[in-house]
Amino acid sequence: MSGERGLCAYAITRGTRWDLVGLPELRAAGPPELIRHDGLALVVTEVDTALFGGLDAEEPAEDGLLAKLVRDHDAIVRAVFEHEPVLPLRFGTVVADEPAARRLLSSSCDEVTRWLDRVAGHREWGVRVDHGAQPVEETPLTGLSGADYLRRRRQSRLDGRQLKDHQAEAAQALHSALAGLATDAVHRTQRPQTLLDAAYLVQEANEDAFRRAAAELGEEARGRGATVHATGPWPPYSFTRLELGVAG
Amino acid sequence: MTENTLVDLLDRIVDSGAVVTGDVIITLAGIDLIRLDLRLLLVGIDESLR
Repeated sequence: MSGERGLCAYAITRGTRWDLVGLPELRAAGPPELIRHDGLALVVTEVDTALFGGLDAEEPAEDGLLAKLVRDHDAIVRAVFEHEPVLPLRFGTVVADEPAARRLLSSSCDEVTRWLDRVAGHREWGVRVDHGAQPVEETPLTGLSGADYLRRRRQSRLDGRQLKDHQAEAAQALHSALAGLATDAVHRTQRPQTLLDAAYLVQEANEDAFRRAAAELGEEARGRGATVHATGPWPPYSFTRLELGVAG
Repeated sequence: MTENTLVDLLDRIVDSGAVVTGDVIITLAGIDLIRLDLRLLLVGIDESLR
């Protein structure tokens, strides 16, 4: 299956000094190139646009096309991120050719430069806290009178609600402490069992304090039965609410 | 804070990144559908790990 050729665009970075040395071998994409313009560089690989057409039909799987493309995307963004501040672009962005890439860089130059200056020296960390399971009924219910049984059931429901409140308090305390140590924080899309799903943009100088707070207060939340899942460091993926358009 | 799993990667990457409008030939029009599917998948995997 073959279609149009295009340039898959992964990220924008500063156009100075940087080259693509040390990039890991990619799974699905060709070798990356830099297109430099107006002091910025767009990181691209040449692709057959039909490649992305196969994604809709595919079941997400560990060795599937989507997984390969997403791992390539992350590998490229990270390789840039190790050298220079990086603005990740939406996964699966394809521009027609080099002139289109240059138009993108010149039309968004000021906005992207400001954004890169803001995230320079920062890394992203993620923390998610989910409700833990309800406590298990420990004493056997046999031999209880009806009234005792009802009282026990009411108490157990109260305990469950109280436990949820305690877990929510711990998640809130965790978030307040972490947000206080971060330059920026965003809440991500929540699932029903989720008490907190946030990303934090943390200056490298604050990382030790941030990780200590995450470990200590995360332990506190775990002690109340919540599950805590921390990830990072990431390139600033969650702080990219930008729309870059070519005017006209 | 160890090596990222595929679930973590998908959760981070598929719904993020600056959007390029206008001069593009693909922006993965179907990605919102994929994302919804993934959300379901992610929830499923999460639950099976507990």
